[in-house]
Parts: sequence; C-alpha cells; structure tokens
Amino acid sequence: MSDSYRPGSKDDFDRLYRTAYPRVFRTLSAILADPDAAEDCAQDAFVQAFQAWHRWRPDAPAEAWVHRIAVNRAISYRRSVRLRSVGEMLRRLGRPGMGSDPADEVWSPDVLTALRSLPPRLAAAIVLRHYHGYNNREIAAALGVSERTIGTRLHQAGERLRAALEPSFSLGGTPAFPRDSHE
Amino acid sequence: MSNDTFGPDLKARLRGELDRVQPRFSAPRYLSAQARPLRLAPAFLGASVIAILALSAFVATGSPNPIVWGERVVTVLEPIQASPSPGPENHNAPPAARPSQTPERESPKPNEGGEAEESPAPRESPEPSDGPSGEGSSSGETSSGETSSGEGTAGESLDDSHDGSSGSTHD
Repeated sequence: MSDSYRPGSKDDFDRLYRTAYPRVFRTLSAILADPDAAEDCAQDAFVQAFQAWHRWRPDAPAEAWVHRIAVNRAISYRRSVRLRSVGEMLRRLGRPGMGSDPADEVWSPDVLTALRSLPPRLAAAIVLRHYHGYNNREIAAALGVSERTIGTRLHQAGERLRAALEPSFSLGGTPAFPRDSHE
Repeated sequence: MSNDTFGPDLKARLRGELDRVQPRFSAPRYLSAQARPLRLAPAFLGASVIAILALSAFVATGSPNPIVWGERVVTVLEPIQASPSPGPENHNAPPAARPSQTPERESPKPNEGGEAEESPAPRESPEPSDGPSGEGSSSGETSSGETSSGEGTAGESLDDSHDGSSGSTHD
C-alpha cells in the first residue's frame, strides 16, 4: 500500500490494477453480494480511475483512492437496483408475492448477507478495516469523510452487524435441512 | 472502539468468507477505454473534412446558406458542361455535319463574289421567306447536284480505271 506511484504513468497504473483489483473486487463483493455486479463495478471504477489518474495526488494512498471510486460506484449501483426492485414490486402489486429461493439463502454466506443489509458506506468501512486492515485515516481517505466519522461508522456498523447475526449465532450448529435429520 | 463491537469471531468469519470469493480477472476495461479516442478518429476526420469544405464554400460564395453554395456549384458546372459539348457532337456526327457545311461553303462559288458577300445579310434578318430562302434553296439544289455529279463522276472514273486495269491485267 505504501508503494510509490507516479500520477499519469500507465505502467504504475497497471501495477496498481494488479495489486488493488482483487482487494477492490472483494470489497465490492461484500457490499453487493453479487460477483457479476462486483466485477462490473470494479472494472468501471478502474476505468474512472484511469481517466483521472493524472489528477491523482500522491499524498493519499492510491488504493484508497480507487476504493473510494469503487465504493461510490457500488452505492450508485445498489441505488439503481433498489429503484428497479421498487418498480418490480409496484408491477407485482396485487399478485401473490414470490418469496426468495431457499436454496439461495442456504448458499449465501451469513456475514456477507448481513453486510449486504447494511448501508454501503457502513459495509465498506467494516471490510476496509477488518478485512483489508486499513487504519482510520486510510478509511477516511477511501470514503471521503473525516477520521472521527469513520470511528462512529465502525461502531454503528459493528453493532448492527452483530444484531443481524444474532439469530444465526443462537442457531449455531443446526443443519440446513432439519427434515433430513429426521429421516 | 470498533474492535470492541466487532469481535475476533466476527472478524475471522468475515475473513474466511471473503477469502473464498475468487476475483474474476477479466480483461482490464480501462485498456479498451484508452483506445476509444482512436475509434472516434474516422468520425473526427470526416467532420473536419466537412467543416473545411463548408468553410471553403462560404469563402467562395460569401454566403453561409448551403442553398447558395449549391446554386454556385450549378452555375460553375453548367458552362463547363456546355463548352466541351460542341466538340464531341462534331466528332460524333461528321457525316451529317459535313454535307450541310460543304454546300454552304461551295454555294457562293457558283455565284459571283459580290453576291456571296451580300448573302449573309438577309440570313440574319427575321424574315426567312424573302430572297435569301430562294437563294439558299437554289444554292442547295445546285450544290447537291454538283456534289452528286462530282461523286458520280469520281466513282465512274474509279470504276472505269478499275475495270480497265482489271481488264488489262486479266487480258
């Protein structure tokens, strides 16, 4: 992360892409819980970053800067998905509701599902801190807010995530298909 | 502060689940975005050529109206098309043009020189029914008679010579 990059250098941007793309992809996977959307947003973020690469200032970490672009892209993506789902809901109004596929719920990892239920900025703060190991200053640079705000967000996000995961903690070792255990 | 709410168990689970996510290394999209200006180059080139043409037309005509440019092009092209047209017509129709020209040139010869100089004046007059028409018709008749007789004599002489030569050779 402390690698030195020169603004506008294509070779340096290629190096940044090789280093940061997997980490950005995982961050967006945690926020979006959709590998296709995560890949799409990550690629868009790097396109945007490449176009603004000559304007990047070395005083901020390059990977945090790309993360900032990627998180903003993911936020706008989630917003568009939400608007689309509201439209779908209004279209289906009056018809019998279609529940989610139970197989998907079993397949989805618990923590990532809980992260998905959080606002994107809180989820991003969690991932950047507890997965990528950013400090508060770097998270602040990545999300474009003050360090104090990051401390508050991390506290809120941790509490909400724990609350969302409480039922799964209590159910602990129950099998995915209880009927199978009876047979 | 945050480490208190987010315990080590949650951190381990988050790490384990995110480590299982395999990043998809598709072709970097920013490399194709870099080549976009080159894709627009033909369009830019075409637009610049059109702009240069429009500018030159504006300078030539002094009007920004494209309709005026079109009229100017028509007026410039029409004389160019009209000037070379008589040449090909002369070349394309020599048999029709030569008989009409030769009698006119030959017609004054039978007449006297003074009448030949006066004959163009009545032709320019708007009344063709007067003397000039009679002179023209008479000259045409005479010329046609002369030419036909001339050709006939030439043909006969040639035929005679051929016959004579052939007769002499055969004999």
